[in-house]
Amino acid sequence: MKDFRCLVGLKHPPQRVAAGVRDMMEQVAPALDQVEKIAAVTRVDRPDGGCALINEWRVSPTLPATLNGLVTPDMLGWLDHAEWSSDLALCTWRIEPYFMAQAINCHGTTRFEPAMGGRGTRAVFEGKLDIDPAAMSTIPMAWRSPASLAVEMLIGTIIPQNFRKTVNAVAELLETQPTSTP
Amino acid sequence: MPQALAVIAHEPGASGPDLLDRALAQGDLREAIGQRISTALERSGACSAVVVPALDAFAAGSPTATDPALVEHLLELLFELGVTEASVGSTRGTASLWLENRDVFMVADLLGYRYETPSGRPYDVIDLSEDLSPNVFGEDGPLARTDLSRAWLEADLRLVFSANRTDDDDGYALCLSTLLSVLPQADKDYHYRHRRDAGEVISALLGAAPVHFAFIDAMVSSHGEGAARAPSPLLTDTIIAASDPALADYLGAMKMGLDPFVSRPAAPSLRRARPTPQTRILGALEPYPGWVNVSPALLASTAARRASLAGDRSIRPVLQQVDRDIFPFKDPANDWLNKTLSGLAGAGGDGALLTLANIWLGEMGKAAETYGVMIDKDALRRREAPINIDPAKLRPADYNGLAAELLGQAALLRGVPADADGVRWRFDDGAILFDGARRIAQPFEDFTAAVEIHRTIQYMNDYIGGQALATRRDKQGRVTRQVERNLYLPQPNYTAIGGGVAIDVTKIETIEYTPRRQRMFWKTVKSDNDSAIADDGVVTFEALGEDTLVTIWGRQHFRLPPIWAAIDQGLDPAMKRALVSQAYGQFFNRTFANLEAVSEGRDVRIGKPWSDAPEGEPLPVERLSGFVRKLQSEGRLDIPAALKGAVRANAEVKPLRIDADGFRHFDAAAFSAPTTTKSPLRSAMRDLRHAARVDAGTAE
Repeated sequence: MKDFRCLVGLKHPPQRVAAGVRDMMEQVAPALDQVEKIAAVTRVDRPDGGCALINEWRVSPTLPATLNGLVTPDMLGWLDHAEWSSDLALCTWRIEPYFMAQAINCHGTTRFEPAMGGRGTRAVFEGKLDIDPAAMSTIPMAWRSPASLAVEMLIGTIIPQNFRKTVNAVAELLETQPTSTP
Repeated sequence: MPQALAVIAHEPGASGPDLLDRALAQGDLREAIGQRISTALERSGACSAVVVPALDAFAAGSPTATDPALVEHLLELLFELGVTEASVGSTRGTASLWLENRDVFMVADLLGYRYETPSGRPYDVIDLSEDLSPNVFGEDGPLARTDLSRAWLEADLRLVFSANRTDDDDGYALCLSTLLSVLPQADKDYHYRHRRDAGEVISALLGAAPVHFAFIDAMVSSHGEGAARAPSPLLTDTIIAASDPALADYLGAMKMGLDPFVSRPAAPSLRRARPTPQTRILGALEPYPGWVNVSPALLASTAARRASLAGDRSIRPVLQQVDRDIFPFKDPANDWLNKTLSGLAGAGGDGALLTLANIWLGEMGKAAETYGVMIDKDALRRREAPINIDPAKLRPADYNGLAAELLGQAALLRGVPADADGVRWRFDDGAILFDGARRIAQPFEDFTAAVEIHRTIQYMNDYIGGQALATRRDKQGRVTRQVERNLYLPQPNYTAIGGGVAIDVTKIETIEYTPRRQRMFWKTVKSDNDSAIADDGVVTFEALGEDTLVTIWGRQHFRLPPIWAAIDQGLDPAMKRALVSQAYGQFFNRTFANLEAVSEGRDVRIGKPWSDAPEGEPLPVERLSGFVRKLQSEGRLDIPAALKGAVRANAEVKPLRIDADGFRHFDAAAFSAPTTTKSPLRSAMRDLRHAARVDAGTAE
């Protein structure tokens, strides 16, 4: 089990940022490196004002030549299951990858807290990634070491960095839009 | 408030806000602040105040930052006295290049600023790199053509509130250092410490926008060898308040037991604000009990390290202790290096290891510089050196006597035979008088249109930077009087090996124009680094038939570094003459070639320019990461494959069989295949070699 955490500061009030992260992902996708598209699969609005949302992410990273054939394009994506609180202060999420879905358990929360005297937001992204060791046994011996290293890098840097890029892209999009209450 | 005033308020156990109130009450500072506010209110009905605190901390509660509660207490007081609009101002610093969440608003938030005073009055946090007033510093000086925050420039009250900390660059970092965060460029180290002289920068900033009141938060200080890298808190229960930031720093350094002038950024401003009999200083000046300063060895080695721009910029992210939860690293390489190495140079250490690393980096920088001077001049960094005399203090007589004085000396070469390069020269009181001429096949009008005579010195051989300021022009707009500072590579170049420094000379110049002749006279009036006793000259462009004759006369007397001075003393006279002939022959050949090139529209400057981008140049680690990413994207550096190969290489290979004698038999093919680790590395090395050949011009 590996923990990861990322704090991003933004010069927009929490509700605006949270609403952007919830509702503007499709528009934000082009601004993200190696993300082909983000599309809402289902959305259920709860009676209390909360929302359950599933987004599909499709990515197109530059893969090393040695992975050709091993990783196919249909594996490069995941479903993002999110449960938003009615006040938009908390999003609880779970990732369902298209690759080794049974072996990978990735879940966490995103909190949107007021900062800068209410004029800004601290977006705190926290999660856990658990990879079933049994799944590793299906990987050829020679690949286990690089695979573990890749997972470490994914947790330590890539996931937090992508979250940072995502909320920054949302913030940039908000700059172009008139202020309104979600 | 006519006289300078400073108060040192100290009481063990007292709260910061109490001591701040006491400091302001003791010396009429509160009244002085109130007076300024009243004047502004009478003038415009409003009064704005900007407080610049130390925000360059890397963890909440760090003693290297000003306590936000104290800043908010000061803001409260300002509101009480009538300020209508108060802000906390700063800009992004160098750390924003390698850490996340380092914009002004987020840093303020994460360090504890609440955007409202204790009584609930809202204040703003403003980024002083936004809404800039253009070209505030004019065309000359260390901040020539630099913009400055309009909010800071137009504030009725400009205040600085520093933390109290030791610093391994400058001994201490107080109000004057904190003022660098007023300037707009993000990479402060690159733009205001490496590229320019920090002392001159701060002095120019104070000249354009003086600070009205300065404070030092010495309640909990950061002392010790770790300085801002690895802060070590010490309760010092003191607030220093002053009418001048230099005076505050003067006293702050004395309280640390330091010579205030040890600080490079502070020294020029301190010289202008030395306490006089009229200065009122209230409070005790004895050093803080238990205070530990940065050792002289670490200070000196850090200064040596700055000789290597790349080395200095690389090592700072590695050494800084950081709360990664709030300020994560942008580059995983820096993150890993910092995790691995920052502890080695931490507060607990004696700094010896860092001192050694600094010296090593400094020597690497010096070696690269020497290599550049002798072999690859375009690899050198151009020098930015502002005019360092006050042109307003020059009298007409200083200019008027130049021509007669220099032409009189030029006549001393009459009768001297020219050497093989066509150069005439002789010794004169340790100096060398010399002249040389070249006929250039270009009509006088065309040549002088292309080569402005007042810029001739900038086209001379080995010119590496400086600044020129026209002090008078004729009716046609041509420069007739000028002040100029020039820096040349060490002369002769080989002296760079033994500690030779750049020739740094400041000159006054006059220029004459006639239809068939133009002539410039120059005389050295200052050499900031004592590298020259004389560097005077005359350059003449005159029409000669369809061509232009260029003549240069000079009188030069440069100081040699000790080792070369000793060698020079023992030189055989014939050898010395040969060396001088060779040096001046080379100078003339290259200078005339440069002038011809300029007349043909070619750029002759040596060295590479500084970047004007706010972030300076990419950090060395970013260049390396970028290079690796490029190789990866081209499929030439396949890290998984390399790792796989490494794993395979180390893996235990199963024998095909074990014979009766116990010998193990393996499949030869498993060992003969080349490992995939070598190929990408070879490819990377091949690319580097190719890039070097392209840089050297031997490949395309």
